[in-house]
Amino acid sequence: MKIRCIANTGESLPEKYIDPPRGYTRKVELPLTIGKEYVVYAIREWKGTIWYYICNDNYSYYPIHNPAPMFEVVDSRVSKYWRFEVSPNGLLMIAFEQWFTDPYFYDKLTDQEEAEVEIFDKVKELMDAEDFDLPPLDVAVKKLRENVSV
Amino acid sequence: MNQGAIPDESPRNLLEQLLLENAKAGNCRVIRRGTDIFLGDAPRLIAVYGGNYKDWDKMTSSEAFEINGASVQVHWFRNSQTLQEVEFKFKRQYPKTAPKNL
Repeated sequence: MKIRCIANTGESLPEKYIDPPRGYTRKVELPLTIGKEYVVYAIREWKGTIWYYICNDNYSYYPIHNPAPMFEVVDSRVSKYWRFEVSPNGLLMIAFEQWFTDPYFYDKLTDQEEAEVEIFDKVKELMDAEDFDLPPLDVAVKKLRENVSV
Repeated sequence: MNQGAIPDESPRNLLEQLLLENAKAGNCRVIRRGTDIFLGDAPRLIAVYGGNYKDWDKMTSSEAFEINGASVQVHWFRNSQTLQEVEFKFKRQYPKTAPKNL
């Protein structure tokens, strides 16, 4: 999945994204370049707000969440590495497998723990190079039927 | 595992000092929200500083400075209810091929 930045300040954000104690004010300016495309490594949905985890212009070793209204989707095909989880509190996360294997994976990644940084390095490399090209529907079905034994 | 308070890390140079001051002045945002799944550090933070599991977030400086070959950010914990900020530390990420001595 790829997105393109269409805004990089809090001015354009819907009210439900504004959260001053957590740094999201109308004045906030995020390290994003308008017009630039970013690969999405994870998605978070919480109480009607959607956040994309991307490697922004300050990227050094971990992806960080950004409000969805700051982007338009330019490639809506989803990664084969993604898994889906809904927590009892209603939090919806879509992310790669290792994110869920350890509930504190992202804590450790942002803490710069070597193993988690290495995992994200690998995941990023795979997702950046992911090939989404699929054969036309007829070709795919024909191939499938040829391989199915009755 | 450390069970007590972790002291703030001191900046190593003027640029890190500026980065820290900039972050403390409000140029920051949340990385991890305690309302999602509580932080791994939350039990320790509550024991030391008080508050509840959902209150403690992990923050980052909005800016990252290139300092001596490393990309440097500041991370810390903030209580979203009281706005108490604790345990500032610098995250220095070096390119994989670069030497790690300053």
